[in-house]
Amino acid sequence: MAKGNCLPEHRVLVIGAGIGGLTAASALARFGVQVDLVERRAALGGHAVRFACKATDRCVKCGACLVTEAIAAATSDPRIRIHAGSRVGEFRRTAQRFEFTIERSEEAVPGGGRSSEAGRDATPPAAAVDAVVLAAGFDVFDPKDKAYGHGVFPNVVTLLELEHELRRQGALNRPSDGSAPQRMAFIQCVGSRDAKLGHLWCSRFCCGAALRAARRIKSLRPQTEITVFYIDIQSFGRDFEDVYRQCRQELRFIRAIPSEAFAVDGGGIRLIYTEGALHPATEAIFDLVVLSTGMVPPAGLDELTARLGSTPADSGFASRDPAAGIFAAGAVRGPMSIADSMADARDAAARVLGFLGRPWNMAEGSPAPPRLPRGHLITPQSACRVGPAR
Amino acid sequence: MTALRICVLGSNACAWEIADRLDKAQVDVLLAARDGADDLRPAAGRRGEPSRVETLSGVRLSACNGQIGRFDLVFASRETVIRQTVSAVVLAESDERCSNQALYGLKPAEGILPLSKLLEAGFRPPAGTAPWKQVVFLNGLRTESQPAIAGDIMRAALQLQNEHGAQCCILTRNLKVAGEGLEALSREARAAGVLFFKFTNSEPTVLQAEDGSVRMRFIADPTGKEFQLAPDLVVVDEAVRPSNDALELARILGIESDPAGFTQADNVHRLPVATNRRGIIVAGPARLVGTDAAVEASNAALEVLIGLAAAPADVATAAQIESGRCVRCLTCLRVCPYRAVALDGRPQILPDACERCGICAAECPREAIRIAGLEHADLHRLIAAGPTTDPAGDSPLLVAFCCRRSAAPALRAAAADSCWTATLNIIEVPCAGGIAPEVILSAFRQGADGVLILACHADNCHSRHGNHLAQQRAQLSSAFLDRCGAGAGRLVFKTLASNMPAEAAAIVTAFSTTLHGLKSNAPSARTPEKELS
Repeated sequence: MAKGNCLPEHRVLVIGAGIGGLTAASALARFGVQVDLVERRAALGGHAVRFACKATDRCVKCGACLVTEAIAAATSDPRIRIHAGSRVGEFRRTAQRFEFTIERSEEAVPGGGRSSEAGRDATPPAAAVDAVVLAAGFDVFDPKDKAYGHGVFPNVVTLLELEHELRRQGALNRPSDGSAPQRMAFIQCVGSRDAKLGHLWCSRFCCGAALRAARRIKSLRPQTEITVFYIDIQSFGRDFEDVYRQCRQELRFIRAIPSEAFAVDGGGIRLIYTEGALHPATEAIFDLVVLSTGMVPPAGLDELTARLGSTPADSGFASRDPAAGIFAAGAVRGPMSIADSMADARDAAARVLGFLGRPWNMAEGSPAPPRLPRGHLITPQSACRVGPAR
Repeated sequence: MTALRICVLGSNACAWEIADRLDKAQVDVLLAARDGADDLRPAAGRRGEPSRVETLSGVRLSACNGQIGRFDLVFASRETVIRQTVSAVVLAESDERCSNQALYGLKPAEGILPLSKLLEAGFRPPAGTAPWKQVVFLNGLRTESQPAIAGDIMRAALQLQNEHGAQCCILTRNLKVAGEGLEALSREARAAGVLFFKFTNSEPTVLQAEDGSVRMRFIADPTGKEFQLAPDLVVVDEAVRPSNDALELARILGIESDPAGFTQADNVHRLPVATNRRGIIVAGPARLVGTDAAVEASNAALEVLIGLAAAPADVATAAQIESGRCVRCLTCLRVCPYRAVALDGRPQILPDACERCGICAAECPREAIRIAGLEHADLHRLIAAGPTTDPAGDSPLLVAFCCRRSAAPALRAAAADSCWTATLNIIEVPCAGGIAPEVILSAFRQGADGVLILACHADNCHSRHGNHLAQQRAQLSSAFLDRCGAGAGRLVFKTLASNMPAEAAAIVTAFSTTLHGLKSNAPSARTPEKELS
């Protein structure tokens, strides 16, 4: 294996520190590439860092817990310069490189983890890099224009808001009065598979996320009655067939997407739906309605890709532009699960290494990969002293 | 350092892509497969280029010994036995598609084709036969379909509809569109006139006549109208399974597989392409349904090189067997999730394969296995170094053994804004399965009012069954505590994930409340450590 110092020094800009950006940055750094990781939020980990564990009596393989390890890997790698709460300012293509400036972003996401998680924050005013990994992730579809009253009726929440609540409380309570919901509904495909919106895609993660969340809620409070409104249930996970069979026993599935929601007394939500010509329009009242809002391209992606000199795909998500040295990675390319984003980000990292013409020899003195721990010694310093508290 | 040489097992597009990536990364590759030499040659474009890829055709792997950095492989061919030494192994075997025809109660007949046959025929009727007028696709009616299968069906239907004048009908339960471009494809097919009949609580009645012809009768869901179809072609969907070669190789390599036999365990810690064995990587269609060859190849190439860079380990950090104490009961061989114990007359630890989980040491009935930093004395010291009982005496002293990957980060996050009334000593271990009962009891001897064993959820253990072993030992220790009058309630086993700080806080709070009701275990003086070791 070649000596690390024989290799040319390469620097890569990674935009976005969600699971995709973190994974790409760590993979590049392991191969001796210097990385500037720019994240507009104050906390690292993107959407996934706020997801709840959906384990019932066992792990359901949502992958949300992997983000903790991805953050630890990126923050402990000396080759990664982390710029949290920052954005790319000016961006200019020079002969073989890209020059850019970093400015403070205005964004601070409430409850988005402690900013100390961002770790080292060394923001130089400007830098030059040899390639760019665009891992700007996705936005969650905003359902304000759907007739479900999100933002108006407190007991209509998005799947993401449900995840945050489960994560924060370890339990689920109704926003309006803090009571535990008895009857819940999930509405799938809100903002996905929607020709009116021009969203000709399945968001891929929401069936898995919704059914896992529903089963988690059932395991916390078995008496909760949960109804799932759907078009087609999408496969997820290696054990999908079994999980789906269990779900059909525990949950009620209705193949219809409700047309409207109304608030009723006591905070309930009345949904109106039609299962087909054989059935008349039906009404049902729920204590809490969860909208499985899909993934859409992140706000400002057009503007960002234009500045990078790249063009997005027809769907509005990013496309790879390997010839130009811009490598989109993860859900910015289209809806992906956590596992898919990780694999896609490593694929992007491999393509960057190829683009740089870099032999894939590992740099010497690479920090031990956290997933393959070596020499982990317990020292008294790692024992945490806490309390007695208040 | 010796040059790297990677063995890639397989001959499909993904295996070639991996070999190609490693070749470009200037790493030697041995590409080995059961196929004949004709199947095992590079794509036309690369032929003649200087290559580091060496091929071994018509061979079957019969043994794999060693550890990352040096695996000794034994291949059997028809005539001879071939031995090869490589640094790491990538298993990139193929999948198989099996027709679901029997599930629909259909016997083979002229007018019935499995999906793959239609794909092979290029979506068109065989030469000399009349064009198909009506084609019915059966998709996911008896078992759940896959996006890859649904995609093939929709592409086939679209082409037959547009270019061969057929009327295509797709009979499906859940239409799987969770793949790139599939929702758009389904709309394109609909616009072209392909009819989609979706079934929810009913099924079409499928009848086959003596001559093999098939008729279907059903009530179409949205309209409630009865339909009868008498197609001249029925295309049956397929299930995707790992190939028999993949199953056999996974067994020989000693890697975990998922319940359906795919060559990677259903465990998030193996994502994206790792296995329970360091230096053995899985990629391609036999790893998981619906993978992309290029993405798999990148991941396999990166993972294998990252793994090799981390080896060799410092031998002193791996588990060590004290030969004087070992009675060759082979418990370690049996319990090691990483295949880090080899048998060479007596059990030997393979230091580069060892992940220091501590399971072997905790399970060894002779206490013959030592791991630097994880020995009983080390853990006793850690317990002793932790906080002591609150002088006021009203807050119980808890010792929490926490798995490094799950409970430790969760509990630390919870401790940052804790509101419990307890003194907590968090002891982080690589795996809760490495905590022996002696260590649990030592915590009590040193004055703990309660002990928490916090492991990963079932199916989320990096060491496969470390959490299960930890739970078993906790149950045994509880029974022991009960018998000696200390109370079984002083020991609690729970599972957590790293993103569960709220649940971690709730566990500690509930446990401290329980312990407040019990008599304090605080000794007037701590047991001196020398007595313990």
